[in-house]
Amino acid sequence: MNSLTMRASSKMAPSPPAALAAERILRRLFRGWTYIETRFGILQPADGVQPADLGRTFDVPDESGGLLSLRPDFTSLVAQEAATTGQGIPRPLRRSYCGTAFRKPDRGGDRRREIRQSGVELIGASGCLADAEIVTLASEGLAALGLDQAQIHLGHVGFIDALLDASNLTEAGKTIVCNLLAKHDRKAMALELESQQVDAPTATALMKLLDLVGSSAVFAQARALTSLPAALDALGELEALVNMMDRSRLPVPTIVDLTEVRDRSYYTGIRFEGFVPSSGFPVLRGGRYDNLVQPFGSKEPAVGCAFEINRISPFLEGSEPADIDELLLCPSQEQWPEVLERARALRSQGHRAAIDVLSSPSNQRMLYQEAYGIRRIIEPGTSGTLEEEGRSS
Amino acid sequence: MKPLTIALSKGRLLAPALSLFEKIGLIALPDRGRQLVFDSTDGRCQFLLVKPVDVPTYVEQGAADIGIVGGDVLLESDSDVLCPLMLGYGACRIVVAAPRGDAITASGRPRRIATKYPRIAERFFSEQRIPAAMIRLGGSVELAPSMGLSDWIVDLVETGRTLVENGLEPIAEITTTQAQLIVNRASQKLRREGIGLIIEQLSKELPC
Repeated sequence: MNSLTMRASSKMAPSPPAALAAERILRRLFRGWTYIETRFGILQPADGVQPADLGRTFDVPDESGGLLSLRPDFTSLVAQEAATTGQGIPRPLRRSYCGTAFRKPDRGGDRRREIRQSGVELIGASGCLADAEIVTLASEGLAALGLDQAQIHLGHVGFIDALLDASNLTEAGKTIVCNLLAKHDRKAMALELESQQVDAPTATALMKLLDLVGSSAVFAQARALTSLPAALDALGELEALVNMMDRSRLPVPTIVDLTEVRDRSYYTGIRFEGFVPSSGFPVLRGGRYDNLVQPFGSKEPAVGCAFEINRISPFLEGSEPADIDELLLCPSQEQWPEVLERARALRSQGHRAAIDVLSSPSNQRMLYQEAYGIRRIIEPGTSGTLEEEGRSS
Repeated sequence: MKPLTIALSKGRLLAPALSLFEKIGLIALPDRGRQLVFDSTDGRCQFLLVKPVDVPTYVEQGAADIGIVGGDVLLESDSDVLCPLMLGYGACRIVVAAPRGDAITASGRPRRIATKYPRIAERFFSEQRIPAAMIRLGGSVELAPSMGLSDWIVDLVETGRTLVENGLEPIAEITTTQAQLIVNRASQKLRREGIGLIIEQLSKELPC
């Protein structure tokens, strides 16, 4: 194996069965909430790439000299569909997706090239109820995956935006301050705010921003820092949502968190991330992005979230449901019709039944059984009773 | 609850780091012999001693919640971690050094740069619009120009004596660095109180 192959393979999903199991669980949940799964091609016209992804796509020339990009994300593809072929469909539009996006590693950020995601987009709905639907779905998704120890950190981009807009900082100055906030570098922040001569109330509010995380008490702390109408509006919106969530007995709790300042240009309202102990990375991201559909020709609100399958699957090891319920042995060609009939009967009852087309020896079969979580192995000609082997369900 | 995991860089930054944690009562005996993993006195934390270049990886990936690492290593790693505290020791400069009499210039042929920090160097020369090719070395970088391997070097300098002894002198300073405390982003969300307490205790022990 050459070094290029090794580098590429080291970025691949650690456990396909666990990833598939996670996707299956989420698909079931999304369907229950009436989100229709949309499938997209891996290759997309390069000129349709959104500004946030510019420079991060893997591009290939097409047969006519044009340029194609490996899809860098799903959200913009759903937005494009909503603004074009989905234009006449009544709103709100509920769409889900499941697959791998491809992006060049971000310096100092996400280093993955292949990003396996399952997510939902709610397009054409603004307001607290739509936000509540997505946050609830995120919470139920984490619980359905068995990640009961997770937390969802919920914030609103409008608060930091209001503080920065009211300051005398230039755009470059805002970027520097946000980068320092994103690194939690308080000392450098204080020096920067002083050197930029930011007025005292705004400087104090920005310095205390990193403490605004916790229970609903955070809202009072945040209101004590500013009287800016835009900041108070953002807090009001977020508080209303948090109150709804508190009354809804979510399976995975939400934490108020105004400390996240990255991706300000992407989100336009609430934003959230899901964390699991020992994961090291967010396993879920979402929020409101009302400017998402506009570049495709129709201005409409949108909110959604994406589960990070590669980051979730290590936590599902050993607990994933079976990929195959029954494996039916077929020792000879003559027994095929009988075995097929049995498989059909099982499938009609909702089982996932596979036929052993390799006529594997028993030691090889055991490995296969282990890899796919097969619950029963069925031999033909056993007078209708299913013989059980190996591990039970 | 699982103890907070703190990754410390072996080498020149280890003794001051152990001394800091001793001052806040988390380590009783700074001399751990050859032990690479040990618990704090109160059992709240677990310490790992790892190679300096590995500290950002341990922290970024969440195998450690907190780390102490040189700013040079952190810059070179490009890791996505929080940097809430500069620790005030291990101060150094990252410089471009050249044989005596040479000067930094964007004109002429592309320069060959020997360095342990190819990312930092590449970024610097790219920003300065100086054509340059990086040659990655693991150590003794100062030898490279005299052996004809490179034109210039980019290296970490504490006093500058090694440069002088090898006929080199700094021609540009890229940045200054010092030891830093770094924190995993997810740990900061999930274990905020424990991490905050350590940062607060350490801050009190640092020179203003």
